[in-house]
Amino acid sequence: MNDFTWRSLWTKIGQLLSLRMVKAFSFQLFSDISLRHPASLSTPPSTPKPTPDTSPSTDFDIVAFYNDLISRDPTITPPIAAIESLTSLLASTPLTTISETLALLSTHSSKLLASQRNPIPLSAGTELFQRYLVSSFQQRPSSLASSDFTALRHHILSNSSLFVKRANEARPKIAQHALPFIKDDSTIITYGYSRAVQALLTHAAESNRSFNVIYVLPATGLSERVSKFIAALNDLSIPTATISMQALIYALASLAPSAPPPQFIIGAAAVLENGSIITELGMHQLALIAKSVSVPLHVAVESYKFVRNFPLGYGPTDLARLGVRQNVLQFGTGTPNSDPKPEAATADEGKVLTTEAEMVEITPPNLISALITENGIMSPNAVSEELIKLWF
Amino acid sequence: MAPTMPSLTPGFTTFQRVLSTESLDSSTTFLVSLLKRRQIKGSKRCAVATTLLLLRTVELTKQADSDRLIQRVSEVGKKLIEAAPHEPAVGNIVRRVLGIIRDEDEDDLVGTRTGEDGSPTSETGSDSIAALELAQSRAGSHSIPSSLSTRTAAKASPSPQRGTTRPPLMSSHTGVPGGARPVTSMFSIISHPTMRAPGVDSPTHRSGTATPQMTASGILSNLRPEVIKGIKEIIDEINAADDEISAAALEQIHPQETIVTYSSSLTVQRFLLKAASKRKFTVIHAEAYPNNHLKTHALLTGTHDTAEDEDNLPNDSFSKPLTSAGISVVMIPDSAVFAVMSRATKVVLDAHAVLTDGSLVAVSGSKAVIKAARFHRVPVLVVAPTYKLSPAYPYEPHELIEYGDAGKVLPFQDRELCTGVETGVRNPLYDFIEAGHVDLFVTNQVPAVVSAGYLYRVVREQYHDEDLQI
Amino acid sequence: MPPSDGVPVTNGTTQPSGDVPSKESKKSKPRPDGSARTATEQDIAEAGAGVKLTGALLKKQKAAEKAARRAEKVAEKGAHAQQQAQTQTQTQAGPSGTKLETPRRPSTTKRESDTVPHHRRTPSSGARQLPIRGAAQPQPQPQASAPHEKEKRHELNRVPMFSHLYPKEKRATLAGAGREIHPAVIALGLQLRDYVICGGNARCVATLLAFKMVIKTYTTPPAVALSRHLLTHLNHQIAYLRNARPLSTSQGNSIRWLKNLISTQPVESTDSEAKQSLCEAIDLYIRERITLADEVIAREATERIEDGDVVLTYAKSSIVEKTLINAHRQGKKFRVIVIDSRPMFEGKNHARSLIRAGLKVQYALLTAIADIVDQESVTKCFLGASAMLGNGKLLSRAGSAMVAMMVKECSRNKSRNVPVIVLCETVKFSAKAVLDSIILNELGDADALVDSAQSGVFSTNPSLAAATAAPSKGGSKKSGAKDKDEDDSDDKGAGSNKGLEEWKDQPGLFLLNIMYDVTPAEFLDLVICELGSLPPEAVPVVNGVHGDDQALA
Repeated sequence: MNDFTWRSLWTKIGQLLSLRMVKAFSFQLFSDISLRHPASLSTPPSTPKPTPDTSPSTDFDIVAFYNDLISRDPTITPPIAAIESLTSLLASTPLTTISETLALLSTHSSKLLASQRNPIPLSAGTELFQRYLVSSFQQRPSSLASSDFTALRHHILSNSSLFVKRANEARPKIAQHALPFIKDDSTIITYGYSRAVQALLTHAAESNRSFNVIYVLPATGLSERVSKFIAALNDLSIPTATISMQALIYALASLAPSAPPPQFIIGAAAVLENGSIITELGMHQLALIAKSVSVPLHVAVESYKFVRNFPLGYGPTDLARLGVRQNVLQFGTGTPNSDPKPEAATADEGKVLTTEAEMVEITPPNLISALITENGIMSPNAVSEELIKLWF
Repeated sequence: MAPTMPSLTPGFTTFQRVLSTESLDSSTTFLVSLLKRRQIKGSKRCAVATTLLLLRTVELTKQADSDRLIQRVSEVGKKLIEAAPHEPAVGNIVRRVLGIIRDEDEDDLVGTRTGEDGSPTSETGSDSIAALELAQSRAGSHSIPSSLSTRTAAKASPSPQRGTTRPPLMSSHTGVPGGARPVTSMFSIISHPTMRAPGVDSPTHRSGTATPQMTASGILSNLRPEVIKGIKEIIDEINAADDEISAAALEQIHPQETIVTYSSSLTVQRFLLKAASKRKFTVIHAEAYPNNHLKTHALLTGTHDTAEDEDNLPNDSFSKPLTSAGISVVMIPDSAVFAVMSRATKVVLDAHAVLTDGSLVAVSGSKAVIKAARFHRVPVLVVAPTYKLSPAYPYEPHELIEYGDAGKVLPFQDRELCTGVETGVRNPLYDFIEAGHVDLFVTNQVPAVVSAGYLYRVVREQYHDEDLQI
Repeated sequence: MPPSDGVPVTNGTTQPSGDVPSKESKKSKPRPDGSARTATEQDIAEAGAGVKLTGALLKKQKAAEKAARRAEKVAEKGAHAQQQAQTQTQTQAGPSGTKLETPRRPSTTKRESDTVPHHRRTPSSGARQLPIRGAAQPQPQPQASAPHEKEKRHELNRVPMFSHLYPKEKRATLAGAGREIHPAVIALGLQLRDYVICGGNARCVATLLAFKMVIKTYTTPPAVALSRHLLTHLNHQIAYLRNARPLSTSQGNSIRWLKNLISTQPVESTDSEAKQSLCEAIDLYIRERITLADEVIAREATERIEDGDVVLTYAKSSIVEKTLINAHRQGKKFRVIVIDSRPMFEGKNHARSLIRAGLKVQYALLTAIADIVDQESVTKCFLGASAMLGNGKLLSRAGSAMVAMMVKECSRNKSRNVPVIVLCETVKFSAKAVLDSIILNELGDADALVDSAQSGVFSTNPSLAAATAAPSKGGSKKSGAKDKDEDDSDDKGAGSNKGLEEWKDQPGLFLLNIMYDVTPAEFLDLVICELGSLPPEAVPVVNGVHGDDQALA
């Protein structure tokens, strides 16, 4: 878009005239303009796309870098890995202008997102990063404005690593905030694999809270990382029980009446604009059960997982809008498969999620009691406010 | 410490007397003991007493710089909060006062900054701090979104703005005190707005605040008077709360309605009186036995015994009964609430404290009233002046419930029952009602009428985040 | 001279001739209202004096006649009017002018009151003052002591929304009973009115027993069939009872059964045979449908109680009490929480009987229900019934709906489903279907809600102390209406009114004492009757099976 060229033009004029007021005015004006026309600046989910020909070419393979990161470090979350990849991209590519930088980021983000079958968590990270860059370009101090681009780039890179560092500190903070929720002799019910929940429960155990954990298993059974997690909890002398999804209500009715009330604590892959969350398949049903028996559902999620995307429902169309395609219904008159694996008939860039183990689902916000983030406890309808503040 | 009139029981008036005559420490101890012994009753009185004590603290602190003030106020505040766990209003007021100090502090520093180099761009864009500290109490909204980037200190907006104390240096990122403050947004570190900062209006200007924007002259000397002024405004706000809440009455109550209300609350009474001035409706009033029924009766008949209420704050002794305004009032025992709810069009209740997620602590029996209203699809309105809005999250709701005199449930004369009853007799004074049951809250600040989903914003705007844990 | 049968005078009923003198005396006084009351005696004395037939004022004459009839009724009360005459001179009226201070019905005396706007309001205050003097004089019927004034006040203090529930006529009195009312029925009526006999089963049994006496002493007049005339005779008794207190479902069903039985008596049987068979049938009915039914229900409900249960119950129900004591005798280990409320405080008696039987009891008030349900991990809730309605709803003591709702709605319980079990004999089943608690209800005495100073308060004020000395809680209905009246006046005398004692004088203030409420079917899990356990919606099915398929009269 022309915003940037206009802005740089005005900046140059301002400098030439060395009128600070003009500069201030220009910044103000342009932030006004850009912020008043947010659509022009950032249409969700992507940031402005500069004209393609300004994108510098580079042979940095972001997809490979990303996959490498993921496989190397099991504790890293997809959004952070995406941001790190983008940072490395910037570091390894020669750049000279702002628009080039942004163009580069944008192309490679799209590439990265396109390569993943479930791009939603990644998109949170990449959009956040791009937004951050744009705003830092906007807001750079006068000293930087007059210097050349390299100083700015250096500034960006150091900020990015700070970003990642802070992001990694989010999980302990979440554990801290969640601690008062876990009362002695209470029962925590959880589902799916979430590092945040893992950290949270471990922290509570190490703080000498005594509680029970019920792990609800999906139809696909006990996965390896879940069993590792359960083993870790048992080592900390936290009694755990695993039940299948169909046993949940009965299990809830079997709890002793005099014990403190149970609660769900789960993690999420992403948080959408209206407060709904993206989780593994099966969570929505559990949330419905929790709501109907008045068991609170708490979601432990880091704040960088917020995505600017407003779903209207929770079916295939909404997931498609987010870039995920999955299909669980396969009608047929042949012999029923014991393992209902839908055939990946259309190898659509390989982007269709095929196994239920990797499928995702949207859980609407009215079923969520509270979001536990590193900044504190949030109610789901506060999410949109946060996102607005972030993006405008 | 002895009050001059020995016949006065310890209470609010004696506290005022002590405050004006004794030293700060003894006043603090006196208030602490009053709170612990429940000799100051009611959120309003506790709030005003706390404010007065903190006012005195600010007045008497030797060095009036912001850190020292904050420290002193926190010390005193902590003692008070510990003495009154049943009274969230105390903590709310302490947080408000701390917030005022921080606000005034920033204002002064803003003034200094612009005074010094006059460059809007070198304004402390250091907004991570600004962003963090800006949970402004009342009307203001800040240019938070544009206040980004600690390093890149350039702020898009010109002067009238809140800066911080941090110099806008690129490299010396003194670091947002991320770990210390439990509420940092990660985004803010890299210059994104925090999750806490309030409203996003036009990014380029702030709506006016009560504080002077650019005081070029002596920074420190202005802080104390400003803080004192702010604290006095809190007192005025507390006293005027009922009237401001009543201002919304005409919108909410319409002719020929049947309003169900519960227990003895002056705020609700005034709310209804205001509506009664222009409308005719019926009120069904449940009496809240055994803790409040006598007060309810007194309220209904207008025979509020002023002798007992010597502790009254201004305006409290005036309670015209609704019937004199031409409203029909039907008093029912608590057992009939469900029965009459089918004829009700609205329920108006008072709360003892409202927590940030919309849950509330109210007089015992309110939960039954609210649940009955929900069953009959009757909307529920809760009046909540700002000093009752607490930013705490109810992790342990049971802790907020206080228990009262068991003799009111089973009179001690009844020997057979008293000895026969096996465990202690419960007389809870409060109920905890979880979030999601109340339709509207009516407060005394803008916006007056808040839905439960928006309440967290109103609560958040009142306090600074770092004051959450005192 | 008694007026006609116990039904109070309605407009247009003719009076025996003896009323003429007072009629005319009324006519002779252009302002018959208050001064008529003051000088009723004198008027009656003057009755024999000149009859002025001013034909022009025919309308007025008619009104005067009505007034006279009423005045005559008042005159029958005898000494009371005398007292009032004396007290009126001493007292001033306080209440606002909107009150009609005359003892007449507003509808008929509107004209008169219009003509006498400035009339002294002494009668009402007189009524108010009366109980003080009433303490000095015998008051067999405290309610009767303040007859019309209190009525008037009651009428004017009716909540418009609930006006269909207020009794149309004044409550039964001893003197107001007709001559054909059997003394047993009169006694029963008074006991019902004063809540001495309270509770569905008790009222039903008492009614049937009273009717048994009536039947025993009954003789068929010549040339009339027993089956028809006895019915008419009984109708009078029933009307008197209904006047004392609206009939409960159990009473209604039993009466309908009895009438049915009577009407099917073979014509050729002799009186004594018929009466014999009727009495036996009544005995059998009581035994089967109430006594034995209770035992069956208690047995079945006891099976539902397990060791370790925490049972919640509300107010007092005889069948719930039987069940709990039965379960305790069987050796089950459980504890009971009794919830109670104002103004009846029936739960206290319930708790006492349970304690005496050795159960572990906890007692709490209705406002504490949320805390109890949250903290005490209640596992079951038993409720007694006044009636089970045709759409599965429960009609029971006011407050039961709240208890059932809170038990169901408490979040902690939602995952466990705490059952709410209703214990109800089939004699209480009704086919009526009501939507809410206002349609079918009974209003108790509003003055019961006036809570005068609590007992145990030692005051230097002697009259106040005197008031508190009497059982002053105004709570238990069993203490009778007398105390409330005394408290009223004594507190008024004391002058330190902080409560509702003068509520009647405050225009626009109403006290409403609702006796029952309707619990929706979704809060109920199970109804246990003597035929077995049913879901609540199956009640009308039982009605059909059992034959009681008419709506309550």
